[in-house]
Amino acid sequence: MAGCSIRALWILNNFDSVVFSRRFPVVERQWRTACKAENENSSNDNLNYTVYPLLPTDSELAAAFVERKKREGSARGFGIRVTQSAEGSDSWVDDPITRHIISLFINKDEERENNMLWPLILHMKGHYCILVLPLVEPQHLKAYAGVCRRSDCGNAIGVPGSLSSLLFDLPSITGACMVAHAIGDVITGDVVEPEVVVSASPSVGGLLDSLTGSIGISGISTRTKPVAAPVAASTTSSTAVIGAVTSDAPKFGSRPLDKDALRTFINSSMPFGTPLDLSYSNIFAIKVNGFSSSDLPLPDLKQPAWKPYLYKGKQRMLFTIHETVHAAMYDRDEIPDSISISGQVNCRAELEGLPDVSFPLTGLNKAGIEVLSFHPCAQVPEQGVDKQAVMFSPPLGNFVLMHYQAFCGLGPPVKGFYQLSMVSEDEGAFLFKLCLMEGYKAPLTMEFCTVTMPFPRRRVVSFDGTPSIGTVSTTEHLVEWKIITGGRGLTGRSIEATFPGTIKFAPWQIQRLPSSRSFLGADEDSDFETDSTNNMVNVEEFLMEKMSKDLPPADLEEPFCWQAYNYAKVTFKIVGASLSGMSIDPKSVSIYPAVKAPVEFSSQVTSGDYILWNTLGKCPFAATVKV
Amino acid sequence: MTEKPPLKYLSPQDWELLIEDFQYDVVRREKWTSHYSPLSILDLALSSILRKDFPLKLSLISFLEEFSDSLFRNFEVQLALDRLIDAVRSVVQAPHDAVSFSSALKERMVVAVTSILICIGNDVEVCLGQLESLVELLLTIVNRPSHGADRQMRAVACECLRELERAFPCLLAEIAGHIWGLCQSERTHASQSYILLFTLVIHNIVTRKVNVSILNTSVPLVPFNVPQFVVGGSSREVSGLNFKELRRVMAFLLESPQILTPSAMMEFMSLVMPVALVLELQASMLKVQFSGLLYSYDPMLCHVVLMIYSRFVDAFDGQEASIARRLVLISREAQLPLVFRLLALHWLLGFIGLVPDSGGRKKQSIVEIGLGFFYPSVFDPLALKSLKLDLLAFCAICLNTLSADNMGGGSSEVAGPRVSVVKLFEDGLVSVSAFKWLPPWSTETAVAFRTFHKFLIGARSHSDTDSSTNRTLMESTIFHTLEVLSGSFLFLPLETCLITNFINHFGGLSTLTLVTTGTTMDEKSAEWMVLFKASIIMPLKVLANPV
Repeated sequence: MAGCSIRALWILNNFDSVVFSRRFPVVERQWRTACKAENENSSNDNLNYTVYPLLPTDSELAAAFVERKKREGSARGFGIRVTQSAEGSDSWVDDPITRHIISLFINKDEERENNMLWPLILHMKGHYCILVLPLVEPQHLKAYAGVCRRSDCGNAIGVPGSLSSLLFDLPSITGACMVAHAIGDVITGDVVEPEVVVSASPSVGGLLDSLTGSIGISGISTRTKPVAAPVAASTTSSTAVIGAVTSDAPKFGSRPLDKDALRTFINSSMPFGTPLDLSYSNIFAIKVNGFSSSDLPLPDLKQPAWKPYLYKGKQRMLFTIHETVHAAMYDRDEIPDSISISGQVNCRAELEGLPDVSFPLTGLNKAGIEVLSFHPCAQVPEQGVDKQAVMFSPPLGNFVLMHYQAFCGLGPPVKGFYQLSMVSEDEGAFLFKLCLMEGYKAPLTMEFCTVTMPFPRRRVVSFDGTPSIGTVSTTEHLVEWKIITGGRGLTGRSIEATFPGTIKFAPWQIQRLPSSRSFLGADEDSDFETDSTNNMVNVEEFLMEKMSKDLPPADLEEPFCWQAYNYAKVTFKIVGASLSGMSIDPKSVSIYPAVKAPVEFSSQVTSGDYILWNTLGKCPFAATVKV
Repeated sequence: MTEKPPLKYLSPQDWELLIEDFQYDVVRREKWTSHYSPLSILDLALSSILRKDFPLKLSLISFLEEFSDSLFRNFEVQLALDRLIDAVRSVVQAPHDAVSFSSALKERMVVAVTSILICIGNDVEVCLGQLESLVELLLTIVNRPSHGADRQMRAVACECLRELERAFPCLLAEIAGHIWGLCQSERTHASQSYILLFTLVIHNIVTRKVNVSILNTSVPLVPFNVPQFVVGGSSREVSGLNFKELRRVMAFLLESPQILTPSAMMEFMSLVMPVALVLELQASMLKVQFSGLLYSYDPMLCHVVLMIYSRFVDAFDGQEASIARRLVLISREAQLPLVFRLLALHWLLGFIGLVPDSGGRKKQSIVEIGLGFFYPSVFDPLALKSLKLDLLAFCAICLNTLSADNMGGGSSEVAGPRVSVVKLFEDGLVSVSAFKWLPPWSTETAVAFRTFHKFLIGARSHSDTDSSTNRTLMESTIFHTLEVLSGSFLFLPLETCLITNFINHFGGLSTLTLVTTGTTMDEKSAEWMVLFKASIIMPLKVLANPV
């Protein structure tokens, strides 16, 4: 078995009912043929297991999904083996990937042995659960059924029939994951093309563009008439999310399912169940624009399937480097700060025909580039060399030419410390001492910078303190300090910012945990709620002790239990250059066949998880490799 | 059963209800099938599809496609197919009209009818006429390469032919030459579908060893006749394939991948590899051309390389370490959705299982890569941390084996790896060190305990019946290492009640460990004490809260 075909897919809403389903009879026929052959031979099979040849109806599938949810604690499941894990269930396998690649038992009440449906890719997007069932061979299903019943837990290495070797042997699972993600993007309308930023220049746009600083060009459908997309705003909305309870409970409020768009996408991307092209923008461009007899193909070259249209018009190339900085800042001797950068080079090539573009990537080692991954249109250079040339044949529209992971070449853009000390159970004193853009030279400009202190489990009653710079506001569960706001960017100099203050919370109340508390089988009646303060040496420890008692378990998709820590999160945006040192020299970009096309380059850096851990409290960290 | 008289026209609302009932379950389905015969449902559906102003045409087509299989009984199949093929011909030949006969409708209709024919027309001999009519219609569509307006329709028709060729292998073998010609002439984006179709035809010719000439185009494209060897099952096998022709074809095919999408690439390689094996093409050729795909950020392309690897392990001799390194680096790409980062680590584990081990070299490189890359980082999701810790545990096992192999060299060589195993364990556990103070139900505790378990029993083969490796484990360095390690935590009194408390919280897991190591307390009580002592490090909060 190789390649990828999909037997069926279902979309469930947050009431666990199927709102969309699609079966691919041609693929199903292959499954049934394979089952027949397998079952005929299974007399030799010591598993004595016949495979289930039919697809469930929507109601059977929904019932099985609800049953699994109940058995496995949540829609995703436990992921690792816990006390409640039943033999034969996904969590019995003891592998976190079973939260993404799941099995269902159809008509479980009938006590049949062969009612397992696997592998179902579970992807949750908006308030929908998407389930995609790829075609595997019956023997793979049997192997998984075996893995689910092994007494030993965890993943065996190098053993035939282990989960890893199944996933290695089954590209259809990988393909089905891609399908599930593509469908997730379609149903939530989350199909924005990567942003390509054009710096204000006389050649592009007029006054408005120079004022806004950038235009976003999105969509292949705009190939004749570019439409300005909203300028990337200085959003801080993600701050609140970080500290909030994350559960896999789907949320309300998404838009209704656009079944027409979904059908169009499925019919074109995998007419018979075998994916051919998962590019939303190509599929919808073809649907909207179609083709006319005057769209002539090139005389000497084949047009790639990923480039159904050729560009016509004024030629130019745009590159934007977009970096996201993640940092864990400790300000402690024993724990080094950790700063990493996820970067990508976005590109838009408005070039006629099917040209090749190449440019050298220099200084990769100096930039500390760790991982380089390329768009499928690129011919991948030899890895691990300091100087590499990238050659690619660009598709139409905006695309991500490459991803990279790097270290921060320039030092942290925001450094310093955050201290929060609880003087009583409900009152704390805090101090920030930060330095922004130290050692950063023009043209690097910090457009905005905000620091938030989230207190998801406490209610802020009052707050006192004045920062040396910027403004402060509070909401029920957070304090927000705007150090640099839009319009007054920081260029060519560094600033120091301090912020001492006190904060008062409403009295602490024991919070009942959501039902997922039973994750590890905690006994509800255990005596963890003892209230003896006598033997506690200080308030901090006492409070930590008290508050950690009813912490809900973190999702396996989270890096740690965010709510267990006090921290401040920094959000910012820096333009002018990359922080890793990754750069593209417009003069060194060459296009073949040669054509005169201006090349523009810009870069922007935003913060990801940029965390200042409370220097006086507990903090999560990881050992670093010292080779 | 007698044919029921055709009933009244169904309104769009009726159809919506009918489709919903069919999808829901068998009981609701019967509401309709007891009133309408399958053929009358088909007739009503087709007449609605052919009407100018019917709004639900696409839904109806999908309905027919999904349920034909369960709808028609044997004696109705031919009649149903006749009607469907007439209908598809009318739709395809209807003048293009954006509203009533849009290109989307035409494309959908050919796909659905092809799909229905494949599913209900299992017996070629019974449905020969219908199959030939459909193939002929499709060939007429694809036989206009590089024309402008209908390129998407041609691509779809190619896909239909491909599914027919997949369902009835070698159906198109005799016209392979024509298809190759079309493949060469098609220059629009539809060429991907032509190439996939041709690749499948070649794949079937080669794997079924059918003796046809690919260069010969003496059999006309249309009118199309199903080859005799497909109908009668009579063998057209000969002793040898025309290798020279086939190699030429392969050279042509291998030039085309750059025009394929990642999904199509996966399909293409799955067809090309068996052909390459039969034709004994040099695996290094495939390797040179395709191994770069591993550096793409598209997980499907990465998996293509792994597919090639698993077929041609020898060709990659010496490059295993760089593949392994790349797989672990994929897991570090923060831009990828988590499931793909987890998959990359699973691929690595599957890959390690496949790599032949020569003289401990494999274990050595695993350890080297592990020390550099398996350490979890602070923002790795717990799922990823957990898998990386598995890999560290695996590294520890390799270290142990290596040190056992080096036993003859003197004690200093053994001590080195011993220290490293301890370090691996301690360093790894730092990333979930919050288990020390978080409540017992925290995910960090679960992951930490799981890791401990892995370090302890990971060396054991996962075959439930194999007890010999189990004994080896008990005598292994890792066990003693853990003994040493746990010793440092043993300043705490080992009250029975604490152990009991611990077992209460981790009942499932502890019992599990008992089961998996396959020994009983009596048998290996000394080792079990070590296990429990070491386990005490997990629930420190249990110790901090006397019962």
